Amino acid sequence: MGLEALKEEITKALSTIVVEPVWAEAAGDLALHVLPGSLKAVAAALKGVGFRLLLAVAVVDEGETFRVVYPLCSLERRLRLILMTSVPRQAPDIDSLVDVWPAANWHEREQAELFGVTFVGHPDPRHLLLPDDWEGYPLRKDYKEPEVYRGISTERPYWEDEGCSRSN
Amino acid sequence: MHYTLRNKLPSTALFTTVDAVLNWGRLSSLWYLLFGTACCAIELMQTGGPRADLDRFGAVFRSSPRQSDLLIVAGTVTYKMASRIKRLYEQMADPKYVISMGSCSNCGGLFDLGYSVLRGIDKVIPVDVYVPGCPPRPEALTQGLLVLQEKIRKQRYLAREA
Amino acid sequence: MQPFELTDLGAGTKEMMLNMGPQHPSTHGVIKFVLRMDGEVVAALDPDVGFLHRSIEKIAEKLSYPDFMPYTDRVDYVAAMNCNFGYARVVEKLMKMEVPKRAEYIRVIVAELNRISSHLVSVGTFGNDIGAVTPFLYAIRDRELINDLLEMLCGARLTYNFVRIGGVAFDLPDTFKEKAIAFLDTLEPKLKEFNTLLSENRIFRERLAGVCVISKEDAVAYGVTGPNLRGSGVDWDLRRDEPYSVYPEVSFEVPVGGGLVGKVGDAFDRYWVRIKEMQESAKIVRQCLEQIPEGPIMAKIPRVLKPPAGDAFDRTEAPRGELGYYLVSDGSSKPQRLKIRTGSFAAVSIIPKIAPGWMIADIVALIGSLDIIAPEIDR
Repeated sequence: MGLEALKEEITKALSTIVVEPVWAEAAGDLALHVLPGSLKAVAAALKGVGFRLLLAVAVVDEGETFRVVYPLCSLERRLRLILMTSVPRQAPDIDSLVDVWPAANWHEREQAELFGVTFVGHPDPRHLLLPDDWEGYPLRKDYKEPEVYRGISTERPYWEDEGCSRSN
Repeated sequence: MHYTLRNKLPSTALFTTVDAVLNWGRLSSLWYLLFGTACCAIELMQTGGPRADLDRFGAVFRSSPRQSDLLIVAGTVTYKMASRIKRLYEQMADPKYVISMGSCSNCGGLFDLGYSVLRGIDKVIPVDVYVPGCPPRPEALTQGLLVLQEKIRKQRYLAREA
Repeated sequence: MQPFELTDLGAGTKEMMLNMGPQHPSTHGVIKFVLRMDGEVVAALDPDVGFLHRSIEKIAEKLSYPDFMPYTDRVDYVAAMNCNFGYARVVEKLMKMEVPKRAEYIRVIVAELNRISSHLVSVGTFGNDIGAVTPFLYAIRDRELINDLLEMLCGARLTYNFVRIGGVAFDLPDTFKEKAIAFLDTLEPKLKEFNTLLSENRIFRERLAGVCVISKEDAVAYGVTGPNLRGSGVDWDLRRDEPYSVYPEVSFEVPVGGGLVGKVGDAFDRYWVRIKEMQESAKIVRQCLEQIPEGPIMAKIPRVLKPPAGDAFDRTEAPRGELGYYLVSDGSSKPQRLKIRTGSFAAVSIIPKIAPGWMIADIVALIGSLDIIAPEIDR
């Protein structure tokens, strides 16, 4: 199925919920950008088109906004699509898609703790990877590491002292 | 145990040969804990496997820290894991030894750029032998075990301090 | 077998909390499961992951594109070549780079050899978890032979850092082909021997028949991919259905679970798919060794890689499911964001759904048959 035909079909599916799709391209894949308010309705409509497999949830820190990315796949029809939405950094609230794709459960938990975004309506908003007493959101661009964690020094002894940090 | 024994004995007694026997027993049956945190665990597995065959040196794996003499910290240790490793170490019965296997547990290794990785297991528990490599080859780990055995051979438990 | 239904027997018993891990021989790495037990039967299971969260995604933002390659080895250290391959592909996709044919063939050869060695670890440790210790030793004995082959190529036994953006690091050594074919010739009888030891072992078969069934619908809904998805009876393999690299030029079957001893999607099906896949991988390697053309092994790439600003998502079929990289570039020499999507992450997230009602010994079979590995979950 060509990208144009897929575009047309999705536009048709979304017309019932009055959403005007904004199209983009991500290195050859079709990307659909929607407003956060209509995210859940669009997700349900896309599932109806055949996108039953949610592959990941990725948040991208873009300064003033957080972009949330949902790569999707349809096994029966062999289609790929990337669903995206953007939320402001000051109020990073996104509708949880656990009801639509159960796979979103863990992915959203992970992204929420790493970026400090909130997935509204998530059934189990606990930490997943980081310890419960972790402070800060490490994958944000402005994250600063603490000097001590639970009495253990987080200092790097080798690289930065000698001015040969590998990170620049 | 040896302090109390030493205090009860006359000051002229010598125990060096008993030391040697004890050390020989300890170094020839270093049972290690079946525990790997990351990549090095696979090489640890291969070392215990048919080709490198760590059994030759009396080292076999045990699944419980209570039955183990040796903790091989095989792989990256994160802050979340550090307290658990400390607890595992505390659960082991004396005498106990630690081999730090691989760059990550030696000093953080590749992952010292990260925010969640402990920069060296020696910040949490004492280490006897450091084995470099990312990951160390089975030969290197075997060498590490032999070095530890040499270290144990020179230990003095009962001999009088000068 | 059927899961148990929990009923109150009126005996005044209480549920028990049980911690399994992070140090447990059958959790395959540092994963913790918090179980709520009613006697031997699991009432609820809550995985506690993150003990190996090594912040790989953050490190990606600090390093240049080629510098990040060694870290992809450690995303799944049992199948490092496949992870290298996936990362190289996503950067090439964003840069619209053409890779020489010979390099693509070498990549497929190493990826499939690595798939065999990964599945050997998987089925070996699975047997070990269930109580069959000997097959584990057979499996890692055979794995050493693949390690030797890959060591011949790149000098490393586990973390290869062999695939490069735009090609591969080294060409095949002169004797590689004959040694690889000699290995493949011995693999067939060894797998047969392995089957008589484990797959056809009546204790093993009946132990796993009908245990911890994952239905087709659940598998897709929770994003389970790879051999676990095929074990549930879904005929989906990226190598065939979204062909990449030189997979269209080789022929192979896609094994799908068919309820050989119990129901479709039980623990034995997931195990059996892996055994079959090893044979198919061997077939692919043979064909690639025959068809491989002469030519360069690296595309011409600039000294400093600066992909154009934009997004790219690419996924490949790794031994533990689909390995996807979501790459966001801002046009500089370092990625703005790299998200790694792994098979084990989804596989663990389905365990709380499947586990209730099964006995604790079956949970070990479930974990072993899903072939999860800690760094892929935590990254």
